[in-house]
Amino acid sequence: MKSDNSISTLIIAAMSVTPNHTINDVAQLFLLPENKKLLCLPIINDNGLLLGTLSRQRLQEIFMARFGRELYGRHKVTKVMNSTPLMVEKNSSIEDAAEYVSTKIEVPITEDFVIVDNGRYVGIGFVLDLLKAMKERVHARNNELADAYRHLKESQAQLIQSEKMASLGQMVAGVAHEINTPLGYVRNNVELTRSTIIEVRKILNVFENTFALLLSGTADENVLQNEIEQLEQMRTNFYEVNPLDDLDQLFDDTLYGIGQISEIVLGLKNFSRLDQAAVANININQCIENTLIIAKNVLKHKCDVIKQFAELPTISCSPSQINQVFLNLLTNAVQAIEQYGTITIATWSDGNYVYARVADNGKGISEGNLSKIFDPFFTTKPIGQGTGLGLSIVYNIIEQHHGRIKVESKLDIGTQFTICLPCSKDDANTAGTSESTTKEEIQIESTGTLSHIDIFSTPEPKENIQSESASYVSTVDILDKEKSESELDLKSEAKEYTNLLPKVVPIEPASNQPNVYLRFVGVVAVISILSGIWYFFSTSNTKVPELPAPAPQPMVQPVKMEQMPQPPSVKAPEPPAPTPQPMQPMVQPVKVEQMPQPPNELQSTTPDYILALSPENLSTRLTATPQPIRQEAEANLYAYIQKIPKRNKLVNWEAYRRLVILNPNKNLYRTKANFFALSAKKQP
Amino acid sequence: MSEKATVLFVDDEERILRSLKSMFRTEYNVLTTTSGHEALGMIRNQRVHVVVSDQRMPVMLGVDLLREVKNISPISMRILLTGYADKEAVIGSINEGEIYRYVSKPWCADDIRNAVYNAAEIAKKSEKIIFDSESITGKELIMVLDEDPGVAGFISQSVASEFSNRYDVEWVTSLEKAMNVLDRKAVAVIVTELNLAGDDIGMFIKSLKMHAPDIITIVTSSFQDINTLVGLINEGQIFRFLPKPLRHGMLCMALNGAFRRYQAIKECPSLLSRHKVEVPKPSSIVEGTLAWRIKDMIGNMYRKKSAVA
Repeated sequence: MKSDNSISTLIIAAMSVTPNHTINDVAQLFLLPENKKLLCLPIINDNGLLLGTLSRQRLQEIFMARFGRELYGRHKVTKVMNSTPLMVEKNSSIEDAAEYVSTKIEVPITEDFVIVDNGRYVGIGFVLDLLKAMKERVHARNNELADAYRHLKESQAQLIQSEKMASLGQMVAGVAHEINTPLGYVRNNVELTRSTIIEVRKILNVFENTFALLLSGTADENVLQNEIEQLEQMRTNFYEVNPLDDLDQLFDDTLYGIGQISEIVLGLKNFSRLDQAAVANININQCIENTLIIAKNVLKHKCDVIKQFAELPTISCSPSQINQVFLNLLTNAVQAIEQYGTITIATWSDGNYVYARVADNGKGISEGNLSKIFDPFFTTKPIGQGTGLGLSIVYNIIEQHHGRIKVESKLDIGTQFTICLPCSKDDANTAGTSESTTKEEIQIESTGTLSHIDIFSTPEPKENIQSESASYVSTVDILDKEKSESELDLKSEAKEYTNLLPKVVPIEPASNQPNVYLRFVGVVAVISILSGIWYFFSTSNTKVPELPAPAPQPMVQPVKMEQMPQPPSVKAPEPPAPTPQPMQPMVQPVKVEQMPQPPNELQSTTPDYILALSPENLSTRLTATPQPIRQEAEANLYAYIQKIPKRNKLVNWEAYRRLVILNPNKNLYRTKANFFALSAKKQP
Repeated sequence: MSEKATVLFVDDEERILRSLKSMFRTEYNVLTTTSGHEALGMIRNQRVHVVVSDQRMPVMLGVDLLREVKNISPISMRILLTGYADKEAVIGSINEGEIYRYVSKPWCADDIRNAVYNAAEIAKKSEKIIFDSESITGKELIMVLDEDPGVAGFISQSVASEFSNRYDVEWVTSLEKAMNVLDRKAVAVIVTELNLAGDDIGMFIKSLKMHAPDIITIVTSSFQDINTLVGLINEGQIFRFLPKPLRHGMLCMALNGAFRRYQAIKECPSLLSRHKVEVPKPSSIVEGTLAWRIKDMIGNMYRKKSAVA
């Protein structure tokens, strides 16, 4: 492996030229068939040290000059040779060589590179060979990445399975307690009944004797008297305690207990659906009811459960998976409740989709964590209490059902998850629109301060979700995907890989020279690396519908790449670049064609946001922006500028020209903008 | 039998209470409640001989209830009756509740009948007893049974620093050596691991309690299996269970308590009956195994000892 990676595999043992050879000699040598492929010949001294190279190109230049051959033909090669040829040490790696060659080589390529051993000539290396070698290496690395991805996927699948087993284990413990309680009194009651029956049977036996004596008609009176006294005594004793008094109640309790046990067992059966079809038409309300039976033990002493179920159409789904979704959501909800709380479960439908919402009034999820909750392995629970896979599994299941999941949360107020599932498969498939492929993104909306929060007074879920989403500070809608264009034909493969997981933890390629690929192998490498990254980040391109549109709430305007400040022809000097990252949460990629934009106005007053807007865009927006917001933006941006080093002319210019737009009355801004514009243009 | 003993049942399921009441009402004065707070009120207002509580109840857990019962009315014998308890609950029932029995739901009628009967008999007899003696003990012996020299060292250090060497510590690493020490010396407290060279020495602890109930047992282990712990309560009446790694404070509290209990038993031998153990079920002891041998060894040793005395 090691030898494969060395440049020595590429050595071409080309002949060399001494410093005493003339240009004409070398021209003759180039004509030899064995040198046909060589772009240049090495010139070495008596000690074998490389002095330089002479290329065909150089000879051509000489001979093409008027009287070139006559004037220079007899000169020594050393006069015209390239004394700084590309030299690569024999034991360099292909990557190192590629990096060196690609940075030094001149265009057009007129020379190959010389392979040396401590300055001594070893042979010639062809640039094209290096290119091929690199291509192979990239290909191999790509396979490694694919392998690594496969392994990762397998181990994640195992983890998901073990998470399932772990949550099942917890559930079983709870269910065991739930069954043991009725079993306890049922068993005791049966034992009590038996002992009562034994008592009754004793009396009955004595009675039978007495009765037989009476019937016989020949019984001795004294004996009969005895019998009757004995019977009387037993009767008195029995009625003193009278176990029969309790019996009715005990029987009722026993039957009730058996009913309880049956219900739990049925719940387990319905929940696991082991004996039923994997995919079925089912009413989601029923799934929730089944799950509630299973989760009863967890919920019992922690919260009240309020059910707001609407009439629902049946949907085609995998009920056991949907049950798991609800179990995970309910478990999380109850764990978020610290003392005693309320969990509200609402369902409704608009004919095309079925919606279900699980809301708790627990401690809520912080804004920082909200965007991570669907990531595999993300957990805030103490070690041993959560694998961090619960919600990631929920996400997957919903995605596989072509549904959507939405989370809204506010610290100390509560969290609500809303899921939406298509009523029939056809709807799900046709619901999607135009975009081709996808790169998953999580959107976070920051909707400013909240005025009034009343999340749980929920008369009608449909309207409710609208008013509520506005009242939450942060919402994450992970299925609003920004789709990116790509021509790579990896879609189906990538989809297959990623169906299982929303996101796979990306591993860095083992290489430490990714830039070599980019520079040298150009397109090949870019494609290969892209495909590697593709595996990691791409997700299924399933189309999902929007949740029924919430009441108009401030939408963050999309910021397009082409709108970012692009100064003419000058490259930004150095990187304390205020150029905002297009993926920063606040700069939300909203599908423009799908969402009618609210009136253009400033969505934020942060310098990053302002700088991300093109000056044209900014001035358009300003017309719709109230004065205080403008002033705030101006103040923020001005404060921001104070921190930019003065030498970053370009950044200063970009900032000041926006200040001019924000406040055209200030001459200072105009002056500064002009100053920096001029000096930025002068700067190389 | 002069007067009916009072038994209090606490469970959040009324049907359990009804069933138990039916079962016990002829022989006992039965109180029932679904509320832990109400139960504590009853304990304060009247003499209750036995308290039987569920573990998982709203508002107050069984272990918390029994701990309070122990504080309010130490004479009341405490029994945990539960369908499911986690490790913490079982350990808490040992260390804080000092419970007499742990009974699992669903229970066998005879088991609970016996447990309640024995508990009631004991409580009736222990009208006036001291539970924790305040008098200063003599130079008593602690035997540490553990393969880990670190544990023995830690205990020695704790005894030296906290009890200014009032007690001797004897460290043994095998059952044979332990038997040897028990044979020759009067051991007050045993601090023991549950696993010794891979063997479960639960039977040693249980047999020892049966034959020498005055020795106070503190079990310290990282091995925490609920069934094992339940066995150590019902058949071993261990005084404390300390999870490993040992902590100084907990160890000293346990030792302090152990010596006070040891002294109290000396002064008031009737206290011993409160720690009467169940005979391990014969099915659990297989002939020829270590457990079997230990049972015999300890039995023989104490028979000899008492013959000599």
